[in-house]
Amino acid sequence: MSSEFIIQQLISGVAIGLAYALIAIGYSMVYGILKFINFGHGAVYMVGTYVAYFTWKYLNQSMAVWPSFLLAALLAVASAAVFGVVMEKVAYKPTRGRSRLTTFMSSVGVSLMVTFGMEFLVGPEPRPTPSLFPGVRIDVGGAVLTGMQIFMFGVALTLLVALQWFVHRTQAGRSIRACSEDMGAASLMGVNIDNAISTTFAIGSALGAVAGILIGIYYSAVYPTMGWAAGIKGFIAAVTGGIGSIPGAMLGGLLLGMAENLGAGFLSSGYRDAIAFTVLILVMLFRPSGIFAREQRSSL
Amino acid sequence: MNWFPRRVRLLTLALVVALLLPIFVHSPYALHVMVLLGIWVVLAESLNFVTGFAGQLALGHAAFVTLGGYAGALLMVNNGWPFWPALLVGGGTGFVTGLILGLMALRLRGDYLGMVTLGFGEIVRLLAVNLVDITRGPMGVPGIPRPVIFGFKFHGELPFFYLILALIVFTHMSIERMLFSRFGRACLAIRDDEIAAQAMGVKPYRYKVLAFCISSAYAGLMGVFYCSWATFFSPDAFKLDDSIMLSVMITLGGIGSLVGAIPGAIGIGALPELLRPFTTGARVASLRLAGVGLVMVVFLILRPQGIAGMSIAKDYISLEPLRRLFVRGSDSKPEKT
Repeated sequence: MSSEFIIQQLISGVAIGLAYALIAIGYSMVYGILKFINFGHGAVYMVGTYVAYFTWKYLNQSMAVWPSFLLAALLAVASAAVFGVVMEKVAYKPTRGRSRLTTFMSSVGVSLMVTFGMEFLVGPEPRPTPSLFPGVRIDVGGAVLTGMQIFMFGVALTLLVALQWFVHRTQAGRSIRACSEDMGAASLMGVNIDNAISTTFAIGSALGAVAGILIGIYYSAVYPTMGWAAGIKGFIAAVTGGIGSIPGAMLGGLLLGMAENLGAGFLSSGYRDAIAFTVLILVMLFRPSGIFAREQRSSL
Repeated sequence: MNWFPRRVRLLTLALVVALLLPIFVHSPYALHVMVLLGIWVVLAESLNFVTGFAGQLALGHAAFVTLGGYAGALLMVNNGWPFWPALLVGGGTGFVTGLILGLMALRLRGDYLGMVTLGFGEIVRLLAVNLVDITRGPMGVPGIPRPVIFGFKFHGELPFFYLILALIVFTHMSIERMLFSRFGRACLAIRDDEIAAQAMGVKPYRYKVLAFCISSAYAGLMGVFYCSWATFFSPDAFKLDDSIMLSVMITLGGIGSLVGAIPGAIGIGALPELLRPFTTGARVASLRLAGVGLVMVVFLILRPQGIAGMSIAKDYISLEPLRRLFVRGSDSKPEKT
């Protein structure tokens, strides 16, 4: 195997891994606060991507590529945030206080409903997306770095840093952290729990939509079941880095992206998803609280 | 002593009706659908054993059907095995692979276990698609022989209908026997309170793994039945959607309700046939899955104990008033947790 090939796989791995990190945030923050795996996150990701796709298509008829893209992305992110909040209010809030398996199953139901409702509306076939950086390619030691990959690094890193700042330096972020420490005590201190939970869902869903738009353009394919694989990979990234931690989600995403691309390169691209699941099983077996976690929690 | 309790009477009646059904129903299409529903019933009952009684959420049931199905299909096609030993090998494959996954995964709890079993299911499907030399990949295994019993070769749907009925009876009775044994009671104890069960000397991990392999063995068995019935097996025969659909079936039927899994499986399994007049083609599948998702959310919010109504105790608390509204003469008290 030539070194160029390995560098090439690593570049694609980092690009896609940072997008996984953005998805992972949605799982991580929700798990931190409500202690359940939001299976519906993949559906939010897919809905956000479709909103962006259709808006972009529509606006692109009368506007240039970039302005129409930015407007469409903005609308998609906003609608994904609203969708995430509504999903929590309708499907998860009524099950609060019951066994968390009930909430998990409810989120599986939401995921089925939204994913296949969309498939019913728009059909299952993948749709190609327009390109943002046609022909931009940089040579890096024999490997190729595309404009889209640089754009992905930039967007994902900016958002992750901004999120870290938001969670640690703002009042809303502080309430979210307080709720994930101890919801009862936070409520006693005057934190509005419902608001904190809604903010969490809004942020997670918005970042999920950004990831969906990036991945949709990167692979140039938008289809209703895209949220399944991506959602599960975001979950794997979150678990690998230690669920509940933002830097962990980023490292987990990077690790997963690189493992997947190297594995796909050395074995066969058909095994890409199998490698991701193997990572999940290995992490769950040996380091269930994440490979970067300092202490091991006794129960999951 | 009630030697013929109500639930047995009901089921016996249902069985007699099912046995007589082919006298009135002749269309091969209707029989075909009924065999398919039978497969769903066995799979739902066996999944209910691990999810409902041992309390372990498993979303990889389809993987064991695929594993068992391939084991049986390849033995019958490549090595010329007859159906019956292949059926046993399929069950054995389910058991052994269930043991391997169970030993690894059952230290995890709740939704984490769900995600890991889901991942295992996808790995199995991807292996079946990619190991073209063994499984012929997405092309599938064609020409699987049908069962022969005492020189009588299965032909058409009718013998399969009776065979699946026999398998349902076998599954139901064996699971019921296990439930009333020490093993079953230990599983129930673990589900209700793992720490209390440990204090009474029950080793949770051991029983969970055993429950998991037994449940997977039924799934492997059904894989062989399915491939011989369809005379064809491919990686897409049973996949992630089907695993999730199975957990929907047992959720609607009532998680932990032995009888509830039957109406749950038949109801959800029959949906695509019921929706057929309203939509056409591939859209039927999407509409069915979307509808199932909606029904599932509504059920979990309003009636988490399912149709048949025995449930994980914790779920009663906030629902007692609603429950009284829907279930007349219900006198069960909410339990403190």
